[in-house]
Amino acid sequence: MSPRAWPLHLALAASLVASTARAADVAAAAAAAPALPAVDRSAPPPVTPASPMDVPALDVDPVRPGVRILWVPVPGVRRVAVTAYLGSGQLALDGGSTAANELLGDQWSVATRGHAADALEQAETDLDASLWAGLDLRHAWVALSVPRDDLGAGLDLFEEVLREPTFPGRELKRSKTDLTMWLGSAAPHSPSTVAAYAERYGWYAPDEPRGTDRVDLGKVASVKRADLVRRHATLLATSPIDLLVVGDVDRAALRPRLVALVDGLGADAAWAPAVPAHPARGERYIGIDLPGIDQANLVVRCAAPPWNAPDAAAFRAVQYAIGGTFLSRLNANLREDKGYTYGGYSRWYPNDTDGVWSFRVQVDQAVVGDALREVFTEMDAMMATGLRDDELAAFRVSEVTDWNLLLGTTDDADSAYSTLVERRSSVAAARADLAAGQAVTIADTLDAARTWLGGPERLVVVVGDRSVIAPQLDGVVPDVTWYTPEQAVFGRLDPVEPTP
Amino acid sequence: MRLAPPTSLVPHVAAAATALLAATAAAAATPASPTAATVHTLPNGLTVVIEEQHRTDQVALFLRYGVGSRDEGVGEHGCAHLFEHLMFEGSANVPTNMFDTWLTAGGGDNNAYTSEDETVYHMTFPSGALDLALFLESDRMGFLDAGLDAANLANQQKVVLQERRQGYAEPHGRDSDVVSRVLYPEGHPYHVPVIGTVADVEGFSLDGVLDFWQRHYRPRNAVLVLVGNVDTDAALASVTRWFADVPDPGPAVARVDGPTPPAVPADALVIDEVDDRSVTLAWRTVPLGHPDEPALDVLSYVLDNGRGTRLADALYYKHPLASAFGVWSGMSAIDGTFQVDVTSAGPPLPRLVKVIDATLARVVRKPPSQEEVDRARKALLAGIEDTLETPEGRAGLLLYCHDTYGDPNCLGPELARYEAVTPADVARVAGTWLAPEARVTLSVVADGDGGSLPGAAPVELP
Repeated sequence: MSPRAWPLHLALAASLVASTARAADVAAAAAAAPALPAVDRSAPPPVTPASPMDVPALDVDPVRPGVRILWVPVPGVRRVAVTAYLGSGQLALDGGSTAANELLGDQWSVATRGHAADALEQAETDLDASLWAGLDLRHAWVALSVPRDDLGAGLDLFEEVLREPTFPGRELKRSKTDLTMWLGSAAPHSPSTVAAYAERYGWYAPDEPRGTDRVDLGKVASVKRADLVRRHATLLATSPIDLLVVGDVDRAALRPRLVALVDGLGADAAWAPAVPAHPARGERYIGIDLPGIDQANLVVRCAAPPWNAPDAAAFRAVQYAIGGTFLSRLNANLREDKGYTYGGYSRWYPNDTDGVWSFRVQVDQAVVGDALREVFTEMDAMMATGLRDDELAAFRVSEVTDWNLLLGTTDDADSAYSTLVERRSSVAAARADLAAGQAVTIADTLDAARTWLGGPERLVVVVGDRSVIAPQLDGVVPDVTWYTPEQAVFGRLDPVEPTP
Repeated sequence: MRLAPPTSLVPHVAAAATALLAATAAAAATPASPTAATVHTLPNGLTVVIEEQHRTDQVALFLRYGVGSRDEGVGEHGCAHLFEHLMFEGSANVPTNMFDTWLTAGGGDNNAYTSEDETVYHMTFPSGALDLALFLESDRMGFLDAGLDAANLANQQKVVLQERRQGYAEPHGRDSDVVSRVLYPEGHPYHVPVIGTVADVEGFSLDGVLDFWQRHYRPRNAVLVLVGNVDTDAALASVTRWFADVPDPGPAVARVDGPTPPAVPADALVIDEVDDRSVTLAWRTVPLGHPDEPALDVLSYVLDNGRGTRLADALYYKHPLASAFGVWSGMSAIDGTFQVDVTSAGPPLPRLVKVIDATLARVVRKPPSQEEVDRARKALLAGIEDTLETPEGRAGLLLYCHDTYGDPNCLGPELARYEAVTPADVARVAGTWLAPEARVTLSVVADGDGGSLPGAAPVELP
């Protein structure tokens, strides 16, 4: 039967079935009706392609120099998300990540002058609201998610957290204890956690911005409440502020409240500059010895383009095809063809000035060498041919599908627009990026794969039982330098550093 | 499983949470459901639930088969879960690897999970791919046997065993399955972990798994839920057309429903790659839909919902005895679990157990305040309306309601059950179900650490 003949038949079938709700009734009706023609299963039915939907631009509403409200209307959603982005962060405070900065992010939303820690937590529960804060190298933020009907009460709490956190000593002590126990006890025993730390610190040197978050427990212990109070005040007084509002709100009614909320805060200053690009470190092969375990964690990491690079769209396609989905080449090879793993996926982490591509997989230790060979084979294949036609077509569809989910929920929209704010970008730029993805050619993907997957910087991390793994690596990778889990967790992976 | 939840009770907890996440406080006052799904039955017995939601172009399709690990016989342990893999390996008209390839090319995404009671395949896709999705699901429901071969089976056996190893390799990765094994003794349908036993998984033959498929993967043992940007009549017509040629071999085999052997108090031990000792206390409770289910759920939040709740304060916020802890109540189709997990911040495990016992005894002796119960209920139901905003959230919820109550629009009455919980109910269920003499314990310590609870005996997973 031709697909074009379906509608008439569908109408008949629908009238037979929809009018009844019990199996016996339907069966009786079906017995009296003409038999349904068999469907054509010789090929998958055609799909009506979706087009990219329109999404609203960031509506910029200046409050005063250095302070703006950015409105994102999302009709029909229940929640409202409000985020105060402060345009300076850890680099401005201390030149990088420090124990005090990390604890400031952790403790900012714990208690306020108006609400002790338990009262604040209860108030959030009562409103079905979430409040959280943090800071990274370039900026800081305080965020609220609350049902629209309780937005007023939610903003009262939000204002307290933004302006008047109290950093109570007992909470600070507990946070230090938790961090110490995590790094000192729990993390070194988790193979996947150890792999994640080894990947980060094997890539970023201690003296570059993204490598400064190595934790020194001695310095953690010495952080005082006053250190957090001072940093908080500095950020509020010296940062430009963007207030991102996402949801279904009455803008005219809400604006005065938001203006009052940031009254006296912020500065007419430029946003912190982009974090300097990571200096390439060549190839590194790191092993972390966890004797006695029978699973290995593998990581392969390469330099990748920043989000705004000319070949970003092409690299997005490369990432999609090689490791971004269940169907991707690496998972298809290692899981579906070889049965080495439960699953392995890659990610692209683009920054403003650089980026990384990372593939992570867990395999049985007996096949570590073979699995690594297959990873390199797939990377080489991508560098030899780029994407296939079907991969490129699927990539294009996936980009449109993802785009069309941008306004699905408040959280979806907040996540998308937050990225734009953090990048100092725009919906127009995102739309252009989507168009660039639709225009990517196989030749483009070939160039991007060769540039990045074949670049001069590569890191391989292997976590597992050295006695089992090391013999398998001969001829697969150059000499591996072995470290302890503790060295990985604390970032003591550089030859120039003392090992604990 | 692909990216499914861990085995054991977790899927049930997720299902229960999904159910709760669908009710709203506002709806409680009016027991009308915030969902409006319609139910239909095809001539071959397939139940179809449809609800329109037009916020986005997305559609969610959940297809639930009434087969889980409890339906496995001798030599079949792990077979229900293995099918979660095999169903993607090809069918009569969908060659190997093409299920995902075609669905992905149409903008769709999919996954699946297996529990003791069910196997659920779920996907989301743009509305223009509805027929494609139905073609794929109907082909593997009706004609898997023509596409599955020994090579695909062998590979997925390896993947499943790797999945098992991967899960067990992380610290505390075995805890959940060990607790279930002890809590549900030999003869209980939940005794064997969902992921199965190594020997059985290694021993499956193509004939054996196809026999399992023929017994359980049939339209009368399945419920298909569609939610999203569809027109109900047109969607039903499409479902009808694509599933019309799926044979109806009759009803599914009868399921094991009970009676179940009673819990036997026991103290289990796991030697693991951990630095800190931990202890779990677990009790058998009630199945989904039981009158005491809401009060047990509320009790779990009275005990642990951040600062100001009883166990949280006793173990962490006011007295730093634990470095990590959690309390949860989870129900499945024929049984339930109430569990407290604590990782010691230094004190010996018996001291932690003493604190837990004393805290529970206080709840029984003096019921929690109305304020405590209200707060717990509020937290328990938090975010429920958010779940209703997405097609997949609604679909999971409708499926839960249909399976538990036979009515996909159960949210209003479900919420009313929670609104009716009183402080006295909370105290009563604590006394009824959480007696010290009825529990099992699990000590988890490092090799060579003698700090487990007295008498704790090692438990191995088969």
